[in-house]
Amino acid sequence: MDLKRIEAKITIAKFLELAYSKDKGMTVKIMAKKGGARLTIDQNGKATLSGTAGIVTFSGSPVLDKIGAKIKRVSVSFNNKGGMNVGYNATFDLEYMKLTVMGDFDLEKLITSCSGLLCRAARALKGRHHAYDMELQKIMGY
Amino acid sequence: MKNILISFLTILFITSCATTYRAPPVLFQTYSQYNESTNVNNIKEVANIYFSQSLLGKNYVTNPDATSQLLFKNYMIAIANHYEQVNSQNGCLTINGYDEEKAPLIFSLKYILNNGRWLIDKIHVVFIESKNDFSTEAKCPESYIH
Repeated sequence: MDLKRIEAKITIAKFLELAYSKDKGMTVKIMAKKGGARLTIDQNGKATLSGTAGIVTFSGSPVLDKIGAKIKRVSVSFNNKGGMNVGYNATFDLEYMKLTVMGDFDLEKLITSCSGLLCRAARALKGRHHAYDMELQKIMGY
Repeated sequence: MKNILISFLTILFITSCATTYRAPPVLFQTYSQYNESTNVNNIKEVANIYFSQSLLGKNYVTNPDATSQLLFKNYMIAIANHYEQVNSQNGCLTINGYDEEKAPLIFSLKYILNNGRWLIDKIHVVFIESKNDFSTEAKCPESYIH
């Protein structure tokens, strides 16, 4: 099978990580604001995170390229329920089917996960660190 | 005697009108055929029996993503229940079930009628968090897009 439940969830976290590395301040403003926000990634990797607080555009290609199947589009709606708890509903538009995954995560945990030693180690390896993926897996609610 | 006969016929008429006609689950039967008879070795050969031309496109035979996605059935290891709605030309089938990790998921499939055969025209796999989120009615794939 192409894209499993957990792989889809980790992918969402990694897109947010890319947005965060492009513009920390705006990414946090968008995600921490109570209410809705939206993330879209097209087949060329052009990614946009938007909300009432503003907009961040970045390249999602580093994450998109790691997915085995060709992705036509990813669309994620976030709903900050107040505080740091963020619900999400993500739809992956593949060649022959669509796949939706949902859940919620703690925004603070997601941000701090990528400022710690583990994240730095993962970056130093210029690839993905299994332990880091496992941490994202836990944060994204699986 | 005549009154009894008229009463009997009236009751018979009313009961026959009140009995609702339940159509056989034609879409689930079609899905079951697909589920039982397709595998990694034959899916591309039999794809046009189960999927519409608009879903398959032109290059599915050579597309590396086609085999696994047309075998989307493999996401669901056990079926819990199913619902369908059908009109003259199209219909939607919703199947609730569980994946290999016993986590709940939903298949939402749109079917179209083509030359007397029901074909899958849209596939939406929805990974839900709890079986409480199982669908309780037939829903078309569009209704799962936010």
